[in-house]
Amino acid sequence: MRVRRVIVGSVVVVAAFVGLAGCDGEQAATPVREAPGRESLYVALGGEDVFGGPGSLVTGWPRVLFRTALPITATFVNLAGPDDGAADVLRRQVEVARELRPDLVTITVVHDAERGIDAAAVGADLQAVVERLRDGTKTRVLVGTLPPDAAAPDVVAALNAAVTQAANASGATIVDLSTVRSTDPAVRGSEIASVFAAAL
Amino acid sequence: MTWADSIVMAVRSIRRRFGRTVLTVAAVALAAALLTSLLIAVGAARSRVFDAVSKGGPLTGIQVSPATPDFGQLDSDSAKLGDPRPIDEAARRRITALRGVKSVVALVSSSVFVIAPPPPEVADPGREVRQVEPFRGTLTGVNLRRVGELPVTVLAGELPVPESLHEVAVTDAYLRAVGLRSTDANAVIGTEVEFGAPRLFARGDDGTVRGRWTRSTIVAVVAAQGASGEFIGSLEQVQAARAWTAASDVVDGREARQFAEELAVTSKYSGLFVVTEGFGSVGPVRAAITKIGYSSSAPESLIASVRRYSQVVEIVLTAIGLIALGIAALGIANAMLAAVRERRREIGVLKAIGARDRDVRRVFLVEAGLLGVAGGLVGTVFGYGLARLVGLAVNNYLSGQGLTGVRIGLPLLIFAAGIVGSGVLALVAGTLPAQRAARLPARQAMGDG
Amino acid sequence: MTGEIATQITGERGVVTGVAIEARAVTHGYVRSDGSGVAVLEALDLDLVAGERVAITGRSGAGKTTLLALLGGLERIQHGSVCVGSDDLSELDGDALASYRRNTVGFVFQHFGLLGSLTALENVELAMAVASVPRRRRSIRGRELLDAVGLADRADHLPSALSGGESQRVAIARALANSPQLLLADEPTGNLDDESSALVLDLLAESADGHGCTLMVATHDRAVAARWDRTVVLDRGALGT
Repeated sequence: MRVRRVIVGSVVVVAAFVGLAGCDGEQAATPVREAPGRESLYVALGGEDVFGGPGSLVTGWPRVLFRTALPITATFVNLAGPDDGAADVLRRQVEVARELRPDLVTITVVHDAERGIDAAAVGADLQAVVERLRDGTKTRVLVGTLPPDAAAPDVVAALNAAVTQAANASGATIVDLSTVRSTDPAVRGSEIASVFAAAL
Repeated sequence: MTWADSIVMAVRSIRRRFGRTVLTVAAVALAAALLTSLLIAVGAARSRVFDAVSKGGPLTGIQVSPATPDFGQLDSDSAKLGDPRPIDEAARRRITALRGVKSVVALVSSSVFVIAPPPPEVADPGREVRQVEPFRGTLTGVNLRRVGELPVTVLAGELPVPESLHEVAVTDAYLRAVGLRSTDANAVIGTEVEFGAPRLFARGDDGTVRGRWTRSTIVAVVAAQGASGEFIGSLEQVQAARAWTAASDVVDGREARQFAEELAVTSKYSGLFVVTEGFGSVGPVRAAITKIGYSSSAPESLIASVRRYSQVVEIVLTAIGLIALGIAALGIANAMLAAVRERRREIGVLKAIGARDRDVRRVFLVEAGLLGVAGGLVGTVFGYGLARLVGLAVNNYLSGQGLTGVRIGLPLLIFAAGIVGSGVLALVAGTLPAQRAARLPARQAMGDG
Repeated sequence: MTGEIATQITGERGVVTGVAIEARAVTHGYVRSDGSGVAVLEALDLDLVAGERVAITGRSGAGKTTLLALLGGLERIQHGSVCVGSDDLSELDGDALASYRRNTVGFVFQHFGLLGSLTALENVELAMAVASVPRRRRSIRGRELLDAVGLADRADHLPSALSGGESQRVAIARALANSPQLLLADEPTGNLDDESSALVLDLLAESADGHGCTLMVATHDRAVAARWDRTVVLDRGALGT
């Protein structure tokens, strides 16, 4: 009797031991970490305010918009030129942009205010840019107005009226940058980016 | 006296001296458990390490560089680079077709601009941390489904999901580039890094460089043998970057030409990792690759040393197990000799009622054998459980490294050998006591005097 | 009870005839640890008729146990000759001697000689197991013998659960298991109280009668010796009557 009990007891202990050791724990499953999102392309067009000065690689507003307001699946290309105005955008940037087939395009043409280009001409060029970008595509175009400190108030007002009319006529979304005040490049970049982000 | 009677007598005798029996069986069981667990561990290690070494895996891999081999290449484990020589599809096919080659993993890399995230909080307050300036880095792409064939060790985090476009692993070179130490590996996991693949656009008489920027989450810090770049990601990610760069305009300007030379995607593959069929193939395959005209590296002498030491360890472990069994056998012999001394009168009575010498010998041998088999059975099962526990710990470590674990099984051979071996050993140990019992005179039945 | 037992104890071969014993010039001695020799039996002559019941008496150390050991085949004959029935024990050795012990002799020891790990029944069966009697037959005969000695209800008891008298009765049953022609008892009542002694002696007498075997009882007790047909006295290794 005692023998039987000891033998049965031993068998139970050994079996439990083996069974416990048999639990391998969970195998690490392949993690599905990457959020399944559609790849998208954002292209920035414009002049020096888009091209940016020193440090703008990190703090320029198109970069900030790309980094903070768009999903991780977005790709960003900046085609702006340091001296480009609306005419240059139409002549040099828009076809390159069309080839890339972007989902989102932002355009600002501050440089024209400095060069004193005629507001009507700027408006006409801008409208042509937007129409070309949207011709047969689903590209969303955001056009930014000039911030108040871009030039003299009457120049800014005239250009903004032309820009707004061009945007409305061509189906672009107008983004009002009249609240942008900061002169610090890093802060200004964030300010402009957040206004554009709100319009997305 | 029949065998059945001998067995019944032996069993009755064992039951009568239960405490001593348990101790003897326990001694045999412990020794058998030790030997079993050691043999299983050795077998698992052999299949994990040796098979990896002998049958083809990261350890039997050869890294091929896009350069011609320099003098003395084959005498050295590391690559001796000559002039640059692109690795194209034809070269890859030639190398894949070589005798002794199991598979070839292609490495594709792209030179990218890197914007690193703001430095993370590090525990050391004395250390100065600062925003890292954008820098030029190398993004190497591999087929992440085959990363197990590559000499990549995960130090922190988990490898990117195969084919992912927005996950990346970083190397120690990245940590150094952003001013961190190897011990800060965990701090970069989960942060985002921006890659800009450069492309030259013609602009008037000159050109301008524009980046195609993507964001990736750093999901792992790895040690990659032979990888000099900072980032490892999917082939798809790098191919997209290289496609962008390859579409650069041809520009005449001097600066533009210099840039184009720097970024020229001249080699379809930035390297190949050749997995051979076994350790014995590494030498011949390397020689063949050198003959084709490429520089290569492989840790041949290192692996040979590892194998030698592993075999020594295997021998030592087995010897330890056998010594333990030998000690257990001595225990059996000692216990049985004591039993013979105690049971002198009983043995005499057996003889007095007509048992032959060999009948008495058989009873004692059966007793020894039963103790050995019982101990062997318990010990083998216990040893298997022990090996599985150890295997659990090992697999936890390996899976943390992103490597496949070891399989701990109980081969039938080891199971049978453990039981049979313990039984045989016990029989050998019981031979002297059994012989002594058999030789006792029947007169012992009458006691002393 | 005694009367009932007498009719039940029979040998396997029906009524067994005992053996005659003829010992001539038997000399037996031992070598002490210091190398010097000790003579236990000196030129001993002994004759027993088949079926005779003899007591051997003498002081301690007279050689009674040695004589029984020689007659029982527990020791080899050193000098002289001992014929038990048709067996010349001086010619026997090893397996032949074991066979003699198995088939011809039934031994009853002073200390009972039961194996502690076996039950009463198994102890009786052991003698038959050694003789390769089939298991079934063993069991039946074992129970018969235990019943004959009045211990049928103790068949499954271990020796530790039996009294001295009961243990000796089991030993007698065992000694009779293979229907011996010679029954040897060495101080069978030496460790028993008077009541048990009487029972055991009665049993021995009835067993010898029932089997018809020759009986030799070694004892230092004159009263025990007086029960038998004849008493021989051993004095310093030699016989007197």
